[in-house]
Amino acid sequence: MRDGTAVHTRRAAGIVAVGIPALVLSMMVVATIGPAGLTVADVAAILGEQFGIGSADVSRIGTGIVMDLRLPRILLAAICGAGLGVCGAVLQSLLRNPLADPFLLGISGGASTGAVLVIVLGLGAGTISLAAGAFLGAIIAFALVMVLATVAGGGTSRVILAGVAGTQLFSALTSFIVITSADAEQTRSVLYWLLGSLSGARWGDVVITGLVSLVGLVVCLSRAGSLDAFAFGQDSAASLGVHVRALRWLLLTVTALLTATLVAVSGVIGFVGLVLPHAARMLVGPGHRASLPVTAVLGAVLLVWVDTLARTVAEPEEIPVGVGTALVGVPVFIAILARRKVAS
Amino acid sequence: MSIQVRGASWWAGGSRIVNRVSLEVPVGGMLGLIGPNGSGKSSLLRLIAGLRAPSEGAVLLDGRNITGLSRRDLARRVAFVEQEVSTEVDLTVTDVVALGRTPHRSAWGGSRDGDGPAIDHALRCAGLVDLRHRRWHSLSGGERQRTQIARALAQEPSELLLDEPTNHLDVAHQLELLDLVSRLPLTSVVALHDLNLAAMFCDAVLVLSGGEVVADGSPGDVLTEDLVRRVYDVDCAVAHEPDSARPHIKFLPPRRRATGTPHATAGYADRA
Repeated sequence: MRDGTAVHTRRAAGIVAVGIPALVLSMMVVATIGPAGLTVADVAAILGEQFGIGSADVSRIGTGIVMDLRLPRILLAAICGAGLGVCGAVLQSLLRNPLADPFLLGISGGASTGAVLVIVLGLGAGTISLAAGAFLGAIIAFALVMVLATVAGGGTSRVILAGVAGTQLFSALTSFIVITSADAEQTRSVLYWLLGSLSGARWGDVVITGLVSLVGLVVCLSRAGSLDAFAFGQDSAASLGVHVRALRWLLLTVTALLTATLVAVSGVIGFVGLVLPHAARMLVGPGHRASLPVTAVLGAVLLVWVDTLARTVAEPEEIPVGVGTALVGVPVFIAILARRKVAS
Repeated sequence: MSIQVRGASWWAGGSRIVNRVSLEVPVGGMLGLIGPNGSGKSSLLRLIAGLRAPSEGAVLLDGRNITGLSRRDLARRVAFVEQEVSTEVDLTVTDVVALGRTPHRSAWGGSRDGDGPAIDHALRCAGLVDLRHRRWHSLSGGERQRTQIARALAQEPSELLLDEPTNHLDVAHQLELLDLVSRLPLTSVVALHDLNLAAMFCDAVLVLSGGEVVADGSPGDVLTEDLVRRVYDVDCAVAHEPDSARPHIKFLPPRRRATGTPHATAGYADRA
C-alpha cells in the first residue's frame, strides 16, 4: 500500500528513531535533578567509568547516588511506562474497549490484596517480600477472572464484566483487611503502595522487569497483524483467519504476567496504560506494528519525567507517581477525546 | 461442486436453529438464501464460513470437509461479509480493505508484494477509489457495506458469503451491488430479504423456514404464489416476463381475517 499504512509505518519508525535518543537523553538529564548538584557531563562520566571508558571526576557519593539510587529508578520508570502502555494498547484492541487498561482484569485488586496480606497480616512471616505477595495476588485474581469469564461464556464483554467483578471483590478484601487489622503506619504504607511508587527501585527489579517487558513486547508485536483484524470484532477476525480463542488466551496471559510483574515492583501506576495507546494511535494510526513501539517509547519517556516530578516537586516529601500520572493523564485524555470528536 | 452442505444442523440455547440443511453451489454459481426473519439464514452462512461448527452434518469445499482446513487457509478461500459491523477504531477505507490481506500475511502483519494490487483491485470493484482516504466513521451505511465487500474481495476468495448485503442501501446501490456480485468470477451465497432481487440476480434460490429447507431450485421454479403464501403468509401475484426465466413478484396487501394471527411466528430480530 502506498498510502495510509505506509505513511504511518514510516512516521512510527521516525518517532521511534527520535524517541530512543530522546529517552536516553531524558534519563541522563533527570539523573542530575535533585540534591548532589551533578551535571549531565558528570552523569556521562560516571556511566563511562562503569563501562571502563575514562574516569569520572565525581565524588564517591555522587557516583553512588547515580548508580545505586537514581539510575535503577529511572530505568524502572522507563520500563514500567513502556510495559503498561503496551499492555493497555493490546487490551484495548483485544477487548474492543477504548477504556481498557492493564489493570482491568483484576490485576490491581489482586496485587493490592496480596501486598496487604504481606504488609498488614505478615503473611509468610518475612519470607515473602511485598513484591512477591503482590505478584501472587495479581496472578490469582487474574486466574479467577478468567475462570469467571469462561464460566459466563467467554466472549469479549464477559471478560470485561468478570474483570470488573474481580477487581471489586479484591478491592473490597483489601479494604476489609486494612480497616480491621492495620495500624495508622501500615495504612499509610498500603495507601502509598496503591498509588504507585518507584522509590524502592533496585537493579534486580530493573533486570527482571526489563526482561519480562522485552519478551512481552516481542510477543505482542509478533501478533500485530492479528490484533489489527479485531477492529470489527471476533467473528470478523475469525473470518480473516485469526484463531481467536488461542490469540485471546495468549495475549491476555502475556499482558497479565507483564502487568503483574510491573505492579509487584511499582504498585498501581494508573493512566499510563489507558492514555498512551490513544496518544500513539493519534500520531501513527491504529495499525499495531506502528502503534505498539510508539506506545512503548512514549510511555517510557513520559514516566521517566513524571517520576522525576513526583520525587522533586514537593521535596523532601515524595508524591506517589500514580498521582502524577493521573494529574498529567487526565487532561491529555480529555484533549484526545475532544480531538476525536472534532475529527469524526 | 464448490460449496456443499450435507445435512447440517446447529443447536443454540437448546433449540435447533439450522435443521438438517443440505445444499450445493456449483463453481461460479450464485445462491440466494431467502426466508423470514429468524429462519436460520445468518446461522447457515456462519456454518458455511466455518465460524460455527455444525452440531451434525458437514460443510465441504471442493468435496473436502472444512474442519480439515486451518482458519488461515479457510480465510484465503472463503470471505464473509457480516450483516452489520461496527468498530471503535479510527480506520480509513483503505485500512479496512487492507484487513482483507490478513490471511495472506504473517501474524506480524508485514505487507506482501501482492497486497497493493489486491487492495487497488478491490477498491475499484466496489467503486471506492474516490473514497479510499475517507474515515470509516464518516461513511454512510451503503458506503460501509461496499467497504466491507471490498475488504472481502481483497482476501481474493473463491467463495463469497454475504449476509443481507442490501440492507441500508438505496435501490440504485442494491442493484449495483448484486450486479457486481453476480458478475464476479466467484461462487457466492447471499442471504436476501428482497425476493425480487433474489429472482433477478441469483442462479438458484434456497428457501429456509424454521431452520429447514422448504424449497430450492431456480428462481422461476421456486418463487411461486403458493410458496410465498406458505412461507411468509403473504399473498402475491407472480408475473413471468416473456423473454426471461426470472419471475417478478407483486405483493398484495394483507386481507383482514376473522381468525388467526398472520405472521405470528416471525420476530423482528434476525439474530439466528
